[in-house]
Amino acid sequence: MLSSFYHNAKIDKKWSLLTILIILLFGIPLLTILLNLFSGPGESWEHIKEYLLLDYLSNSIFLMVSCSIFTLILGVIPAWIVSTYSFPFRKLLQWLLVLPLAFPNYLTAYAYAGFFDYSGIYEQILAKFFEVDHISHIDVMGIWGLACVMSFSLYPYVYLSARSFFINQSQRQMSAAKVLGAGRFKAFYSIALPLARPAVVGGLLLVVMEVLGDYGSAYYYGVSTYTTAIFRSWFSLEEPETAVYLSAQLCIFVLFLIVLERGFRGRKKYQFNSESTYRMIKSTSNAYRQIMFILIIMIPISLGFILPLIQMLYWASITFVDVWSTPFLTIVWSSFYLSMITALICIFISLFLIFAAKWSRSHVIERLSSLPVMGYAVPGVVIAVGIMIPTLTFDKWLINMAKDYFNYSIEFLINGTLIGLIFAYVVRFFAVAYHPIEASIQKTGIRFDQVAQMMGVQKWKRMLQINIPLNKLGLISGVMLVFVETMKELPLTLLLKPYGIMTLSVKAFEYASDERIAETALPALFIIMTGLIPIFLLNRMMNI
Amino acid sequence: MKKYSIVIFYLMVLLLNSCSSSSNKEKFQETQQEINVYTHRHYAPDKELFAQFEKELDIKVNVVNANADELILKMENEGEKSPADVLITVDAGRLERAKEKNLLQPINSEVLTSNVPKHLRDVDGHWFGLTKRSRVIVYAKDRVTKDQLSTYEALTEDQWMGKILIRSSGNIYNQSLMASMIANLGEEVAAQWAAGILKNMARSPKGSDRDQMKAVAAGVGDLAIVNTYYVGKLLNSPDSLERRVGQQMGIFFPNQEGRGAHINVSGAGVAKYSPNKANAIKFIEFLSSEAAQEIFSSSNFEYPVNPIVKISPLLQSWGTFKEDKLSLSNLGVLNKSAVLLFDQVGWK
Repeated sequence: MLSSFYHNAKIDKKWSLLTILIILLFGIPLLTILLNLFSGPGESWEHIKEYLLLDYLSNSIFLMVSCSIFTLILGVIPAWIVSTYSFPFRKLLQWLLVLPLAFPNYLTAYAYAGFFDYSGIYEQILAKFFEVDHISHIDVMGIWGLACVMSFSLYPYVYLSARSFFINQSQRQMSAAKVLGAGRFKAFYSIALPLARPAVVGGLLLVVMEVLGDYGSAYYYGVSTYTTAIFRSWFSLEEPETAVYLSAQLCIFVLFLIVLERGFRGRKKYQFNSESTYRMIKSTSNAYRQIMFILIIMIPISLGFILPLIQMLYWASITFVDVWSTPFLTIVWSSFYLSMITALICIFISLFLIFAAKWSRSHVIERLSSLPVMGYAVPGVVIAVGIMIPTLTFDKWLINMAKDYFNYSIEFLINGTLIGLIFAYVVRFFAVAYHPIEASIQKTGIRFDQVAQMMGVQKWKRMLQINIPLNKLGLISGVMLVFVETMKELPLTLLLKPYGIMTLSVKAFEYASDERIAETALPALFIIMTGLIPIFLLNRMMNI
Repeated sequence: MKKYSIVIFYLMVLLLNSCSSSSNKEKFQETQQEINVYTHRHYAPDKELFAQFEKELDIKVNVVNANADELILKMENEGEKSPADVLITVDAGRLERAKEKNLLQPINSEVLTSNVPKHLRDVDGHWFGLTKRSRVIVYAKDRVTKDQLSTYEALTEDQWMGKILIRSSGNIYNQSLMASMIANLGEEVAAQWAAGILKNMARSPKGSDRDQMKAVAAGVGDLAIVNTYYVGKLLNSPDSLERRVGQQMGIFFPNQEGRGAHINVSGAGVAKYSPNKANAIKFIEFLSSEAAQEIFSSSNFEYPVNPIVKISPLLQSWGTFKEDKLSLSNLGVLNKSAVLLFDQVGWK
């Protein structure tokens, strides 16, 4: 009865209209790119098909599959352990596990290349402390190395989504499993894991998108992927048409993945009663197992954070004086506020779109409202250009209008200003906010919202007093993830940043492209440090 | 109340809007003269030099730093409204590309024609080289002697099987080297050359020029093809291990009996729609001047283009060499053919 009342309420046209407007705004860069699918590739397409495409495809697919498997292992197992068992340092380890997120994956890649470099730290340690005469060189710079290194820095996506699920999972199913005589492992394997699937798949989707969008690491490691193909045809072959054509194909592939994930999730909807979503009681375990747990959890932390950090600290120690002489705190501050504004706008729009879709009760709107997540699948440079082309047209039109009708000379309004840059960031990282928020809303359900609506409470009030507090954790993870992502973003920032604004990632890039890899360490450490603050806050909040 | 939320959102946008446009206005309402420089170079001494220019001529220098390809794209999209006055790239091929795309304008400056030798600037004055480097063969001093080396072409001989280190073909310096091969020897021979180098590679191409030298030091191969300034950078690295790698490298300028070693420049051109053309010319003239050249070239261990300027002691120690006098415009014109040939022979 409740739901039939809810479903028969009047359709709100204004919200639907605004939803469509927002989606169109997001659609501008993507449409600019997708429309190029119809205008076809440039003349080099035949050349690419003949000599390169197979290599690009197989490498990209290999990376996607291997990174999915690695991040699944590195993410789900620790998530289960920290949310189920009690052992010393659990709280500390729980948040250390998120730290690799603070590393842009190209910096992790640089760090690993340096660590295993000829006479890098690894070989020096072997030679000094173990007196190994003949050191067999470990070459990380290849496709396997790339898959490993990217997984080390990306597993937190899977870990975070799996953990937030495990923490809030229903006690009932687990106790039922226990009563029926299932051990912890069995309960994990046959109850918790299948239930967590939607959350974990959401995390995996982020990983796959990151892998597909990566350029910096793949290029440095000499692995040709679909994204390097986009760059190559754009810049080396001078054919933006072909590059945009390739990007459009990439978009369609990601759309396919998203539809797949939705279909997969759609069949399994689990909603839990609020009374039963309290935490599971941690079982105390013996000392041997406690040590085992700590060791297992230390593996991803060491690989994704400690080891690259050591390399960066070493580099920073030898380059500190040189690099510190530049006005660093200004750079830190501009990175910080750009990322924060982007993060807030992203969650604001995510909330709006999700609820507008639910309230519109239109399947079309509901489908449409998840479209903006596609931005995340498109490499930053492509988005930047997708935004540059239409905004420039708009700006030029505006300038001409102002001149013709008001005889007033104005400058570019969007292009090369903070608005253009933040718009691009939002388009690019929207998915990062959307997924945790959507997952959270899916878990808490909209029952309270429905009850409140039945009682005649207005929408904005429901939003502020019910939906936002209920989904607080999802929102905070959304903010945190977008913040850190924006901090790390590079190619898009390079293209769209206004005069006089310098971000940490651009600074690091300047050094790296100058082949002064060691000098990237100080800006890198600042990216990591600023990234740590929200991670730290988030974890404290999640522990309450 | 929901209207209010929309209003708040709108206000936020307006606020942002006003922030950015007010800062813009500030910039543009200044009476002080200025130039906007789009540059691919990002060395600390460059900035000091720009500051010196600001001080001497009282012209403010606004810098946009990015990859040359991206800067060219930016200028293309901005069209007539582009604020860019000067484009600086680290490769002649890119300058030539900017010229082909009609993004630069011809400059007639006696100062520049006398400061910059003819083969290092565009025939029509669209761009001018400012610093010079050579792409040379470096070798492990303990394993290879100078007299084993002669030309780029000789590197395809079987004695170097599994000995050569060179980075990927996506790199512009390799593309320019290949373009010079095509210009000098024709496509067919150039393709054979690339295939021959590929056959002799010690490993599949990856990493930077520095990484190639590190691999030589570690014994992965005996030779690497790198730009001269990277040797300088290794020798002056804050990392003692990198310095040691630099010391193990010998530099060999190839093709000295023939056409000379391949060279390339970083250079500048005045943007087609430059709003401050006169200042832009002054700026490039300043960079080619004797005083600036010394700093501008040594900031990156490069050779000055201005022949009266002395080269640094480190560069002197590598000796003088005969350079390929091929007009550098060719590097841009033949860039695409170079990329296509690389793909065809399978050089990643």
